Amino acid sequence: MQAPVVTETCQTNEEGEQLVLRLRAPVERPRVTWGAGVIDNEHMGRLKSNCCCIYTPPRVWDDPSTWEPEEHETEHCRGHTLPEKKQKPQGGHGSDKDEDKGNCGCDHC
Amino acid sequence: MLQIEKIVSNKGNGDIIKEIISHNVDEDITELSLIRHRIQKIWQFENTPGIRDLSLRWNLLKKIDHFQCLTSLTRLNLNDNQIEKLENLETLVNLVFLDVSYNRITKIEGLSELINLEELHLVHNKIITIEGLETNTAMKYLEFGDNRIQKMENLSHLVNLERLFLGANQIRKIEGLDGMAQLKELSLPGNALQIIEGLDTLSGLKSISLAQNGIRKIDGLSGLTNLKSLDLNDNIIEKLENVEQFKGISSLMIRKNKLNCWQDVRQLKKLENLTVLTMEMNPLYSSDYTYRNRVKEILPDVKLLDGFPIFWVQGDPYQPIPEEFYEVFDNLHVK
Repeated sequence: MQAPVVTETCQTNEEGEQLVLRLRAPVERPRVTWGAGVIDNEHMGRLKSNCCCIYTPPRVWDDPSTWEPEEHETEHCRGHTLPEKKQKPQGGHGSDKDEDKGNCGCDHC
Repeated sequence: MLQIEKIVSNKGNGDIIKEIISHNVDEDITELSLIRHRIQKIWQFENTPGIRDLSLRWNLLKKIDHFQCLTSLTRLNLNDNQIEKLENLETLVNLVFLDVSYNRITKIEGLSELINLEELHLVHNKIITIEGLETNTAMKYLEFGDNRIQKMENLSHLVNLERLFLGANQIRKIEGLDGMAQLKELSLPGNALQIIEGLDTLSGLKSISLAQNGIRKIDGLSGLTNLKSLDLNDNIIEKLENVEQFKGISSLMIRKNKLNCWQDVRQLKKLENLTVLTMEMNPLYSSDYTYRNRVKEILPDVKLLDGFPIFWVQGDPYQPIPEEFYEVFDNLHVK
């Protein structure tokens, strides 16, 4: 369906020439979109592999909250994030197996 | 023959596969480097007692152990592991260089027997207090960058200290350096300093860095009679003053401050040896498109401006540099 065309007549002082404006609907442009078979995996609970890409806000000299950035330090890795933060087991160190639970899967380990 | 426990696979769901392997080395080696081997534990150094240089960078060590028998060791590198405590180093009496950067150390301790230690690196740990160095008077180089240190103390007894790095800490006041005339380099960027002070007795200092602090006024530098390089980048300085306090410098860095008066720049004429100047990202830089030409006109002896040769024409991608130009860099070296 085509948009209605609006015609406007405007008269100028010089030479008495008439100007005519014609408006048209914008041309549809190609757009990128997801294919039908694509699975959205954003909230699937996968581990992230952003070992070196954690954003650290810039340090401000008079803002103490920027002096000790959250380090995302896990048992085996600095700078890695886990799917969820886990409570540390009570009573210090458990067995080797307990100690290694919840470790991340990045290449650094 | 060394025994190594390493992590072979870690899927992140608690399923970790380790294995213990035998690592074949000649028993008479003097150097060993096992960088990035996923080592969680390594032992049986009794088989290689002659090692003098040992590097285990980028591994998964949680504890300093099993090195006690390496009494010939002079260099030990444990950078980028998961060590939480400095311990079991007492027998390494010949140690000269120790690097435990990028670990999780909270306290400087266990170094009292290392009387020959000259260089200590503790970058990116969680240290709060400078302590535990009472007997380490042979120390020449101390690197404490990126920790949580709040106070400069317990350093003045280190009579051989030449280079001190305390960048990215939480220091608010320069103190505790009295009498350290032998100090050559002091580095304090990324702290919470507002006043330049406590430097009066550092007559041997050649290079000082006070970048990324909250300094408003240039002062307190008159004791630095040998100063060659002054770094005040990224502060809140509005006025160039007290220039006579650092008359002898070759290099001045004052980028990203609040300088807005060209009349102030004329004061830099007093610096007869000035050859390297960094002054971009100040108000007078961004408000004047003839910035480089004006600096060149006011300070004809400056050779390097904002990291580029002064004679370079803007926009031309290649311009040859004469051979004698490189003398600029020779004069900057802190010896």
